[in-house]
Amino acid sequence: MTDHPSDRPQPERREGGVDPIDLSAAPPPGTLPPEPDEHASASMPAGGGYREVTLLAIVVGVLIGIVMNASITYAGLKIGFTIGGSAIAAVLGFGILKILRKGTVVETNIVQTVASAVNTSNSGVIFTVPVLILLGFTLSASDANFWLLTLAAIAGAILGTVFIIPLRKQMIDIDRLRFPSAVGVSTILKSPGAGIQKFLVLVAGIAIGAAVYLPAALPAIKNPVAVEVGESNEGSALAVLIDQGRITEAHAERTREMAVWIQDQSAPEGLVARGEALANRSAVVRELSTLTDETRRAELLARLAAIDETIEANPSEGHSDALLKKVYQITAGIAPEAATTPPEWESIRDPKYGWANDPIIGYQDLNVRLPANYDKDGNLQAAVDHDSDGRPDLAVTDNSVDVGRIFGIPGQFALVFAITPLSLGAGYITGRPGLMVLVGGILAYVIVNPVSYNLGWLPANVDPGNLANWARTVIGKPLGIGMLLGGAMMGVVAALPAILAAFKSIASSGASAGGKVTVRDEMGLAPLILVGIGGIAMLFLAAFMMTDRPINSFCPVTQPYREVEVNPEVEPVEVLGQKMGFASEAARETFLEWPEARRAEVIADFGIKRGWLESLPHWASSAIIALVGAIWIWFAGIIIAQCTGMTDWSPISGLALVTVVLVMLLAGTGQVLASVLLGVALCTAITLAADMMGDLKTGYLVGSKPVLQQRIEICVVGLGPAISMLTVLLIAQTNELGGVEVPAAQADALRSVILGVQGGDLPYALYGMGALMGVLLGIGGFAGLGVLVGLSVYLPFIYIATYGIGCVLNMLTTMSKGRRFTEEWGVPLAAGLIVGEAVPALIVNIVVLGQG
Amino acid sequence: MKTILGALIWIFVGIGAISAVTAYFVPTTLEAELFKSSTEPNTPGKTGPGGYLVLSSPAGPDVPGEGASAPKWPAGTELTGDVLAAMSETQPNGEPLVKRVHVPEFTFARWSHKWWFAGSIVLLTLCGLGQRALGGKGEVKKGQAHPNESLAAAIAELHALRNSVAAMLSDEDRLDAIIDRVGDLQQGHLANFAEGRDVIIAKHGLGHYAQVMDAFAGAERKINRAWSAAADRVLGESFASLEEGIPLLEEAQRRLHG
Repeated sequence: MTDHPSDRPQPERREGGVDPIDLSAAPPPGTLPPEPDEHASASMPAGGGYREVTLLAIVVGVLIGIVMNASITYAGLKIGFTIGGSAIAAVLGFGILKILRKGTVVETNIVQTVASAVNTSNSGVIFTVPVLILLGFTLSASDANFWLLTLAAIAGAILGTVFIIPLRKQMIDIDRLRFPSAVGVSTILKSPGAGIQKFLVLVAGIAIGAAVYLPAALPAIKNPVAVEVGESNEGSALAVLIDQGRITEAHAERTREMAVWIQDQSAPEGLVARGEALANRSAVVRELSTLTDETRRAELLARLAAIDETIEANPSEGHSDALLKKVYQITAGIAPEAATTPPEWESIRDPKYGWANDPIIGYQDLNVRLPANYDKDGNLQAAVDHDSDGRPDLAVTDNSVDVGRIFGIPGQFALVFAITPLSLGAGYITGRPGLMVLVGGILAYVIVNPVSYNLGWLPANVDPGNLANWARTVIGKPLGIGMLLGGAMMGVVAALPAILAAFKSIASSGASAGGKVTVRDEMGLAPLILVGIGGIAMLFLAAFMMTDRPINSFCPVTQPYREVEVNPEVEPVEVLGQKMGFASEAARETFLEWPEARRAEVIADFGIKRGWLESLPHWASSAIIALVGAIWIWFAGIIIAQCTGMTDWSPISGLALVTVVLVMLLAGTGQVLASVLLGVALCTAITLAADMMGDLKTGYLVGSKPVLQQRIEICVVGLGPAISMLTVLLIAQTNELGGVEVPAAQADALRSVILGVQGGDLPYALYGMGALMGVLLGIGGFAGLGVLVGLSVYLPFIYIATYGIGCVLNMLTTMSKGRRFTEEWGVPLAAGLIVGEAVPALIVNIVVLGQG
Repeated sequence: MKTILGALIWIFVGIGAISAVTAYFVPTTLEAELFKSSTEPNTPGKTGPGGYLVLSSPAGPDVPGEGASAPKWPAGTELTGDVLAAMSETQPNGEPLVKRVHVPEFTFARWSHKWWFAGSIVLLTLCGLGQRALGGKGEVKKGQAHPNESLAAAIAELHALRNSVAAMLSDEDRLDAIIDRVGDLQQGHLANFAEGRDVIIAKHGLGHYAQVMDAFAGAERKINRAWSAAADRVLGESFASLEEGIPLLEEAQRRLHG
């Protein structure tokens, strides 16, 4: 892949993929360009020999991408959000190539393109796949579901890349979307040649960003807290953690109890008995899943009833089932699965069993609290003590500053700022256009929510301090996603002339006629269409096979109800066009013998309703699902690329939600697996679409050839989803997904949506109203306004607030010092802030991954 | 006028959003029959045994319960006539105990602020249309060069740069000159031209603007490449990129005038 001088076309034959250009044409009227010196270029070295796509760049990019992908996947499951990879990849690639004494600006751009292509799919996977585990499905390498999901993710990655490439001209060349992070990355790549002063400004930005961000990131690294049995509560590590608001009194008390068990090498009998019952219950339920002998089944069911009585008779006293099972194994000297020796008491000194964690350091350690205001009776005012713990609430948490309440503004106004130099930097690079996002955020969180709340429209028992989160879930998300969809549709309609011009230009690239000379610098439509068809075929295959599999994870007949897993060997029964699985042949027969009413009851309980495509043959419904999925991926890719282009934000989870709803409506509400399959395809597609466009923007700013970036991205893009899926599989087999340690927050949100669709209680009208407003917002002077406002209503305000400060700072420097100053000095500083957060975040993620 | 219309747009979006909230947060004072759902009774999360809607969020003040206090009407409570009567009971302050409840289903009949929403939508449309009618004059901002001038100046500067670089004797001087002068060009004339988007669209339309920008962007990318190659001390590629950028920029100019 290395560029070799002899392989390169001559300079006069290379061109930028625009309409055929007649180089012999006369200069336009009104201009008098200086006469070129005919002999000038004769003394110049020939073009070529400029390192761009090299084997080294690809290998380094792939390696960086793999490390980032695995670590960000794990951290994303733990902390609920992911970090963008391009800036980190650029810095790492730059450093590695420089150490190897190689690496041009454009070669580093290729490293960054490859690395972020391999890395970026992680958010697409972690926002969707874990939801299956939360809904009771298992994720295993021996299960076809896992491989079908992986296939869909790879198909999505390919489609996202292929669909967005033809829009490069429209978004980057014609609309000149800003892509703040991409601008930051190009600043990093260009820094060595930009002069020492600008380099120092960049380094200063990195230092400031890292210094500000580290105390916000380091609390993710936690160690089990040291507890001495019998120690005084005063000044103990647990007491300090309670004081810092990191753990509750109850959590501390449970940890103390566990410390006593470790010292005494014993636990209360009731708890051990509960642990034994829980362990036995798991074994009995497992056996029921594979049983065919009815006599043995009856025995086991009787045993199960006795076990359940024991469990009821021995309450957990706040301890987790996992801990109590462990305690039973220790007490009884039983070696757990895949181990040869029984566990030691010391093994419960682990956060996954409920032992308190001690973050290494963070802003919360400062224990900065709101001013203590008292009412006339001498009681602490509720406005400063939302958690009712008798102390003023924290003003500074590990990742946010509650500026509003510091100044006495009621909590429902949610003037909280996230501690995120990355958002500040992205806001600064975006500048004035980003102000729309801030205004939209203020409208949603400072006006609409508090007004609705103060009018008494919202439930009185919503904590004012939590109003922003609550209202975002119930109102902001549906309304915001609707606005995004409407706004994006309007944006596409308004940009049609530009899109058509861009397509025409791409289609004509490579043509050569008469005196008009063009050379391909952009992938032509034919190979893109070919690869796209391949991607759609993969999607069809995955959808075809997935919709042919049982939709349920638990047997609807075998008792205990919804606990015994489906046996894939047993032939499923078709129910409302969807296939229901059973634990055994006997269970299947029982189901078929049930009266209609009883079957209908179970079907309703499993949330199974007819899909719109129910009457079609299986292959036809799968083809329609794949095709609709592909069209939706194209449209969603445009939305995400527009969002990241204008603001740097991407509402991935919101669009995943729409996908899941769409598939469940088409295929039937029982088709959770198929909807997650399309969800993972869409999420990987749109994240890669945004990533591709960002990388192409960086490439534009440093002068890379788009065609090389595009080809490389298509070649490596399938690697990322495979790595993310394998990482999720690894984590799912060693951790409890959805538990305390790996909460998988985004997937949990998706689970609520799936259950909402099955229950038929999604607020469809709010989506519709949002879409209408999104369309109308685009009627005025700026067609993309609906997208920006939708984004601001959808996103949490704490990030918008910090981002908004960046936008305002840009406007202030532009007003006082001029645009050029802002671009030459402000942007490098802002780029430094982005890197200053991104790189420490990656390091922390790797440490967290290492901690397991 | 455009600023006023812009402000009005935000106001009407706000009114529309607040009105939209009432689509699912409905008054307790409505007739109980309006809370009957067409969905079958006992549908989880939607209807209760009587076929009435259930609460999507808790309602009412917290009352002492087992252990901690809990909302008087938890989520899932069926909104029967009796429940609604208890909720809408007038308090000493003259207000009902619970003004509104969060329901899982939408109907126009229960939507109290539908006319507010409709009004805000109409006014939002009018303001948008007004803004569109007023916009697009394409005046050059104060202190900013006309895009035609910026483009011509950029072309002239590039020709001059090419000639002066060719005349230099030292490669190091050539590379430094490219870095400095291309850097100036990027932040100066080229950026000024790109800023003139509204002026070009107002005069020629979006389709024509796209044609111009297609060529311009191709040129700008070449010029950016010239800078990068110079920073990497690869003179041949840098100069070749400069030479490729010039005709593309001239093509952009030709399209602009065409």
